[in-house]
Amino acid sequence: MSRNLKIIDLLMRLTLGGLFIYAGIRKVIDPAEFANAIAGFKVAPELLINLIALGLPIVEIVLGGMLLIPHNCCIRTSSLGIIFLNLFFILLLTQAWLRGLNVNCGCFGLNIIPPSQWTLPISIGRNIILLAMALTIRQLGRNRNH
Amino acid sequence: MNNALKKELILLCLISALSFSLGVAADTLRKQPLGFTYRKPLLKLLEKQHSFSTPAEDQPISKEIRIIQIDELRKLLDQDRALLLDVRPQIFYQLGHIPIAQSFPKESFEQAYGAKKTKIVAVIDQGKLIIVYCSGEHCADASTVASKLAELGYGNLGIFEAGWDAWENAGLDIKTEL
Repeated sequence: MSRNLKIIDLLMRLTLGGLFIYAGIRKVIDPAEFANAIAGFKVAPELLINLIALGLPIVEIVLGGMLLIPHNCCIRTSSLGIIFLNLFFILLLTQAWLRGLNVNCGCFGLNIIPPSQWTLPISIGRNIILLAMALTIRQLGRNRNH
Repeated sequence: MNNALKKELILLCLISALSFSLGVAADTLRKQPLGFTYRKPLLKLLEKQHSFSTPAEDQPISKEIRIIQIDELRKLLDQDRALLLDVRPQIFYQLGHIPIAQSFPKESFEQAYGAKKTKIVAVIDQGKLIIVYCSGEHCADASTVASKLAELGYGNLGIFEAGWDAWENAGLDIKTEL
């Protein structure tokens, strides 16, 4: 991998990993708020809402942390997990948008700002960017030697 | 599927299983565990309300926090029998709110309460209801504010659970401050 690609790879891993750790910590701080956000999507059965609210943030923190570890196996596994998560989030947000739900994405935990008509499209756009970053990191991993 | 991908998927399954177990285990250590069953913010409040401090017994004030539906809210407002508080952030109040509502942002509860205390006491003395609302039924802010007011000893409280979304979607009159 060239020096420039290595820098891009590192910057993207720091950004994506940092974002996932931050998002996870925010949700761990107030799982009740995150549970309300999940319920707002009207998709998950009530029995699963709290379980998701408690477990998903830890998954995000672990995957984000693994992305920061300079070991190809960790990076490729976590980028794969982040790709799955982002695909799931995009699907979830898109169905909510198409159904005309006025909800917060809950992506970063505490929802101080009430949802508006732009909340979901902006969240979908952000998740597409994160998905592209995870795909790039995984692709770069083919040439990564650690 | 190649072996490397298979290993990564197995590792992801393990990470997920461990993370969910850790999340559930850590929840039991919280002061207020989330528990396994999801309850809407309003339900939590209704379960909690029996523990609130209550006004003196000779006061004809209801301790129950009532859930107000949109038709009842319209009737109460038409008859001037309620004080309506919008607990969303100030900027969203300014962008649009129920015409008679007054801004009472949850984020600055102390400040808003300080400014509105006299009005709230007067409203209670007149036997009127104090009704709070936020953006919608999964928004916890209205329950939080109602809970704080109840803890301060106020009765005659109501929550317009369906909130701003329902009012706006019903095509009813709105007011902006911009």
